[in-house]
Amino acid sequence: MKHLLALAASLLIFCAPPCRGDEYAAERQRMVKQVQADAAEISYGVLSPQVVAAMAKVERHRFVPFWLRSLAYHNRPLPIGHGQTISQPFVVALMTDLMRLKAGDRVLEVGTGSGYQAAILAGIAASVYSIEIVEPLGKEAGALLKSLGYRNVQTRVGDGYYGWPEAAPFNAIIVTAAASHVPPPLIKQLKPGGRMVIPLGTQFMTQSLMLVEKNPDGSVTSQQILPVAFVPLTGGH
Amino acid sequence: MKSAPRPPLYAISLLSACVLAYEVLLTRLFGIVLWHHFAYMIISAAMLGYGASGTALTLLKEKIAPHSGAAFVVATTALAVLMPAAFWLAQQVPFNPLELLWDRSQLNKLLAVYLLMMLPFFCGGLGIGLMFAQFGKQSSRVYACDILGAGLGSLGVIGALFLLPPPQVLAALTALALLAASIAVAELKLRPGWLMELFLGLAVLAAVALPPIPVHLSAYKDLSQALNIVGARMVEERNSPLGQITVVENTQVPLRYAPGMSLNATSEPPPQLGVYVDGNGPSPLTKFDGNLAPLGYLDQLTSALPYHLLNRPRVLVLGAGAGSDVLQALYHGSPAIDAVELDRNVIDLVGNRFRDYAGDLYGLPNVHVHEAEARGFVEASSAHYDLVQLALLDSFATSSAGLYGLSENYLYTVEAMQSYLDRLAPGGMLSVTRWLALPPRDALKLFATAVTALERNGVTDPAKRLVMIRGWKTVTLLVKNGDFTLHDIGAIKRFCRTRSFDMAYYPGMRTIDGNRYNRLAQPYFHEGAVALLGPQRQAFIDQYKFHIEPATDDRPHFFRFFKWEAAAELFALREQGGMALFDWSYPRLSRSSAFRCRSPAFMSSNWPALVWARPCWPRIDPITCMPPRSSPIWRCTSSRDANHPWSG
Repeated sequence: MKHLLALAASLLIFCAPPCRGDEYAAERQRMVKQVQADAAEISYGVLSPQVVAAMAKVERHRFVPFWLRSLAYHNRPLPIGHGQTISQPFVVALMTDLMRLKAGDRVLEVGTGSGYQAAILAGIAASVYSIEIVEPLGKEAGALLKSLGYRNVQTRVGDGYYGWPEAAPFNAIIVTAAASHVPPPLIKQLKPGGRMVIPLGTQFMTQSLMLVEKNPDGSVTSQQILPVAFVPLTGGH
Repeated sequence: MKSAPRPPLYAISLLSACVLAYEVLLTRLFGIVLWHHFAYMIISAAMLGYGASGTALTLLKEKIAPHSGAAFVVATTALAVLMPAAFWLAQQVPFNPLELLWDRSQLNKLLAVYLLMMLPFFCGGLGIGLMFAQFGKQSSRVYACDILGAGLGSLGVIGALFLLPPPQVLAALTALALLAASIAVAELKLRPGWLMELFLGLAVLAAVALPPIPVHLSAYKDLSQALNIVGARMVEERNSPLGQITVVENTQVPLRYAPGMSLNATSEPPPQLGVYVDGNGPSPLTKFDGNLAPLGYLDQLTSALPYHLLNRPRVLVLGAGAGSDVLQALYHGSPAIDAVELDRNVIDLVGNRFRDYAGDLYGLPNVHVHEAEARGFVEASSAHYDLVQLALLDSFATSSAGLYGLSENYLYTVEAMQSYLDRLAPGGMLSVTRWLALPPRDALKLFATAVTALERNGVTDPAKRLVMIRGWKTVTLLVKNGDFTLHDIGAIKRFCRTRSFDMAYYPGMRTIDGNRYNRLAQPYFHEGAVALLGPQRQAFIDQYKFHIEPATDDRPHFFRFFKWEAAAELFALREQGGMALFDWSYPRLSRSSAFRCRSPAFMSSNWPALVWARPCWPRIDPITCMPPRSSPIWRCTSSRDANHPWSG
């Protein structure tokens, strides 16, 4: 009963006041354009149309506390409680794009957070499995995603270290939870040819994005991508 | 009321002791609640409070003078009330330092915290100032008692923090301030006489009944994050002036700490307890039963490299913490390990409280634990080691956020490195592991420090004595007492290849070999290392967009990477992911300084200086808190010429 009440209160916080149509559509479009422009400015290049479409469709304001809704489409991370944040849209777009998802793909997300990243993934992939280690956050996000009609997202609360073996292998894995190392079981659950994306940094700033690719022979290679057009060296070197 | 003929010297001493003890205590409390560099803010808040009280006293002198004795008692009582109240209120302000550069409203919240923390010092300063004003002819005695009290308070609070948790020390200070008010009533012979008994009673009441003010850590600190995880529970907490140590256990989702473990690793760490200092960490306390096999993960870290170049080395671990590096040495067969740890509470946790869990690690016959400051231990020691291992103790989060940017650190200076090198046996190695930051910061600064240390030690060709490798999250630098051999380099290549670590530098390395496994846009680390060994080293350091000049004992800010010259560019890139490139302590410092300069109290207490200095002040950009590039201050403080990349 206590859990139900807490859940109801959480839903109230995240969904209230009642949304009147899509009053944020214009802001969302502006945000997407800015994200596209930012991606073009760095050496990264052009975001895939699927990512752009998903970013344009998913209502980010639904995933932030209602008192922060006016900031929902600013290109910045926002606090969502429990010491967690909803990632900066630009970083979400880059991470999703790096996964190179296809329509039939199966994706694992470790660190559900607000559920926004899962919603973006659900707009592109066939199925999304998302694990959250912070119980209230996981329950809130799961209920929210369900209420918003994301039927291809499955969530659960628990330890993400061992992934989701029942649903493995995955075409792509995203590890948004801070970890000192990449859990070996997650690499095992990645399909050959699959891609894993890990943001490195802290809640309010992503230092770099690590892309781990599993080769057909099972070996892995990685690359670290600086999500910013910044050259540390000046001329002459 | 007639002026008292004799100043209340005991009360002044006690008041002064309370104020200084409170200041020291706040640096601890804010170090726990937020991050350590807020200690600097407390010092400036105290200075502001004192300065503002001087101004208030000057302006209200005529009105207060006839009642200076009573005013002193009121100020002392207000101090007693405000010490806990201001701290409690400051914790109610929803200030999140990590949002400072995203959210301008955080600046107002920081200002609110700042002003709240200023109030007790205003009262303390007012009390002392009143006595100076009232007893001008005896000011030497007043001053002597003020200074004596301040000294005793500063020392006393350190002792108290060994015995009591910080919130209880705060309650004790409240009681002492009320005691000071009581003594003042007696010394000044104020009426009614029962006031003395009243304050004495209140002091006793505060000492025995005042509940400790709860200390709420920022939700973004490592400890808060760990406690949010399902199944987490705190199993031990200890306090000392060195820090608040918290041990967290989670049997449901155990801690598995293996910083930067190779992506090729198939084993996972055994269960661990998380040891947090002031909410930062963790330093893992690993379950160990004498069986070395579960420790295999320690061979999958970049820090394991020296063990593949040295055969069963005698090891000195500096900053042993909860024993991770000691376990690594044990795993690799070290016959003698000297482990140096500063905090006796940490040693006691491993050696006594969790001895069975840790497998009596610090009681093993080949492990010798020394309670000492690492640098001091090295300077005093005459022993020689095959391997000196400088542990990676700070957390990735605080390090990557640049939260140590303002702190002094004497472990990573040129002189420190010279001392470590002096302790190496022939062929021995110094191994230092740091978090990998992109673009490179720590690693290149460390490399530059090592090059300078070798040069100062008389090594003619440092390039032959240095090796640096990088994983996806950590970088390890080796400095050898002797030249690296072809055999060494072969072993390094094998170590890196089997773990998919990249080589950043070894003597004779080709650039093409520097970016194979964890690929970067460019082999930044190798390019940087080569530049730092070349003739254009200083030019490279000067032109690099982060501060990588080696730290020295005179300027021991190893973790300072921020250059003001790069701030505008970084801030412009913040929405494109550039926020992580800031050392956040610097923007925070600048912001707190900026509003300190704008605050009415500062203006009131420093107006003569402001009027005098105004013509020299540069215009400050309200966003970056920097003078614009066109400001004369850049021309004054920079030796760069007009052709420099930053000058345009």
